[in-house]
Amino acid sequence: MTTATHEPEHPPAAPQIPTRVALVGNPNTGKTTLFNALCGLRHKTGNFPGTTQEARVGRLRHTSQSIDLIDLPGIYSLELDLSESEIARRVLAGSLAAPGMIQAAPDTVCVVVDATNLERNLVLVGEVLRRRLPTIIALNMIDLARKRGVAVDPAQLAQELGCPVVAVSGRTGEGLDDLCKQKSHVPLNNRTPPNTQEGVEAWASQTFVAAMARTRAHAGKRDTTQAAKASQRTDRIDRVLTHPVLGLAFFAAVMFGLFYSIFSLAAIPMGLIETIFGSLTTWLQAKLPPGILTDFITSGVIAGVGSTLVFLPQIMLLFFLISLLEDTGYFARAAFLVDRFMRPFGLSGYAFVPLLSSHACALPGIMATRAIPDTKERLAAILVAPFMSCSARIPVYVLLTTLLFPGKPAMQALAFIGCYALGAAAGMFSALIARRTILKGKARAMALELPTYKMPSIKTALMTTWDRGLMFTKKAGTMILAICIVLWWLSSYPKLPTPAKAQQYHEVADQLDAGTITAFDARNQTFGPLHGELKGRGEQPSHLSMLLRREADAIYGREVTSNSFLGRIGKTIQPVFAPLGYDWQLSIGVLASFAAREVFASTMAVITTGSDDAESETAMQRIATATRADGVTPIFTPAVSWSLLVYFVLAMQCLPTLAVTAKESGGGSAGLKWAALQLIWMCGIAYVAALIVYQVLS
Amino acid sequence: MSNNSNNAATPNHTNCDCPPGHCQQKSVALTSLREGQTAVVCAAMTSMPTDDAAYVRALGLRPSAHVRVCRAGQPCIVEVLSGASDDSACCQDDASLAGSCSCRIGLSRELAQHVMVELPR
Repeated sequence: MTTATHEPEHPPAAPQIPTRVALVGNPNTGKTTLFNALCGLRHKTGNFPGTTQEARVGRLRHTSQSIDLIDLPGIYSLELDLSESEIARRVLAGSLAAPGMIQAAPDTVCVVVDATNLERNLVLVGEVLRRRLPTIIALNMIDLARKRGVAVDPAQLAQELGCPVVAVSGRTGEGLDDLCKQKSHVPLNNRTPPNTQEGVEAWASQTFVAAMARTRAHAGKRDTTQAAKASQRTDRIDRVLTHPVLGLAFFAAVMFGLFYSIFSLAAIPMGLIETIFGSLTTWLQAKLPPGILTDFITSGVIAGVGSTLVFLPQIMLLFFLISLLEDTGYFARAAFLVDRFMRPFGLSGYAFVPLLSSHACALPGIMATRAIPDTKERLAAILVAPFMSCSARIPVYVLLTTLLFPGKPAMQALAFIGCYALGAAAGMFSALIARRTILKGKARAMALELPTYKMPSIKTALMTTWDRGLMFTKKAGTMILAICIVLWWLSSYPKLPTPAKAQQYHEVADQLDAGTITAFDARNQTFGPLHGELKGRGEQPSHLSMLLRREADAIYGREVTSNSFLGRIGKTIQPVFAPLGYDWQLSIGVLASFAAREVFASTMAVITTGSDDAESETAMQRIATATRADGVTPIFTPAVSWSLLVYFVLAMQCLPTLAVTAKESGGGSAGLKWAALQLIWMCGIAYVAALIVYQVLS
Repeated sequence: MSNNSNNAATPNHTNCDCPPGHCQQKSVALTSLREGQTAVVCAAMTSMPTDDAAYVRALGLRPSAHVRVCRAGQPCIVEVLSGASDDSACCQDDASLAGSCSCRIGLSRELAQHVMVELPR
């Protein structure tokens, strides 16, 4: 470990214990890895007030003092006309604070610099130093620099910069303790770089050269043979990954592998969650007395939340794998690869990361469009971002692809990829229309840093996964739970007397149990849909009795749901969705999804409770076997399932996304117009496409 | 500088917009270089839109930066070699710097053709 603290030429101001440390750095300098290494799970993620830029605030674990670390967005320069740069400028100026923090300039600025790319990073250091804030430099990736033969002496660098420099490695943990110690007493720097940008650039070059020259004098000539070989290796990999044919084939293989893994690996934890919720329901039904409370807990709370949480493994796996891929440095290459395909549609590779982020959630995706320099291109990207299949759609995709291809993970993965491809294609088509009409213009030329290829950090990926998983679980425990409770109430009331047929089945079952009639007599006395099922089966009176009671409950459940408040609402709106093949139950599911798409699976679970044996079947099985009001016709026929899948791929069903669109597209009445256009356009396309699919397949 | 591949360059020389006396040779567009060639970025890229120029500059492609072409064409991938701007410091040979103290930047052909570079003497 190497630490260096310069001797200030002037005595520093009275010692002050820093409580707020702003973490600043270029993208790809390992800032996030360092933040995670310092704070672990003790951080909160939110937005900077009045902005949609994500802010992470963590508490240091390596010190007894209370130090809050504010993770600012990665920036190349504080002076660029980009939202990230503006956020960083405002935080350093004290005019913007992270959530829960006082609005004042940070006590200390910690600039994370990449030891393997020092010269460029020093420009940002200079921009920070000239703001006259106590500054400390975290010379990150020092292990990688040594490996490449780059010998940077923190003491020499500290001498040149006039502020403390600590050599660290967020990856290995090297130097973290010293960094924390340094953070508690950072003096004001005694060097002030020039005020002009050209001046700072020249200062950065001179500082770098001076520091490296001194280092070389002490360390001797470095051996860069290995680094040169590594660079040539990177050249070869880049040529393949950005090749129009080979690169595309690799991209397709990566995407297929990603989604196949999601299906195959998540199956075990998903099954476990279903079993746990199923067992919990059975246990509660056995322990609690029959009545409204038991019904509310099992059919409302557990059925609703359980059917959403079952998709948690897949969502977490998606974020984990995307984080791993991002960390390898591949995505920047992929941005150039897709640039050539996006350009004809009026979008550039700049939109790749926002659109890719939208596959997790449209909200950060739309926020990320701020990185698109061209205003019209940015607006077009905002409008089409929600077409990308977000994680909220995953539960619906999983449900419907499982219903379409039961027990065939490869086919499910293909259908899943098809959904993503359809969303992306619809997005590109919409972008083309927009760029040829209301947002006329040409795609902007691209420039991107291509990070070094490296082994991804499992820890960083796990942190991201934990963060996103927690957010999803919180959503399931709050908004989705609330919607499920409302839906349960609407679908359970008003209570009705037991229908005559159900009553009759119960009576026959009672007689069977009492032994007053035979199984033959019982079969002759029961009619309707169960009659065929009973024929030739149920020679054992106890078994026949069980079948009769189950059917009686199903008849009662269908009757109650059909005449419930929810049923009435569903029947009112059903004519709108009738051409798409949806009955009133599906219409309710689609309607409820406008609050949040994830709600669809839980809505269907709540609605279909009672239409079959809820005690012995999982939520997925119950939905799969759910029938329409006649008790015979399945709700999810292949044509309906495909139509529904297409509808969910294309429709705008997310109120928060509309709100962010309105805000990011200018706010006020202009923003509302863009949001309205997005809603009408997406829902219109979804309706027409789903209609065509249903009419063709049925 | 030792770079034999530069002898094979057959670019269309054009005058860049560097301040008088900055460039010792006529400059060429970055797109004219072949894979493996090294060059020095000339001063302000005035033919490029202002925002693009500021961003490209912030990425590290600023005047006097030494670059090596890793991939020619679309995209044009260059390695910006740190410290190479000072002959007396650590970089007598650009090739020896490759990958050790550098960053890699991808540019669309449209932008790369506005980046004027000077071939090494």
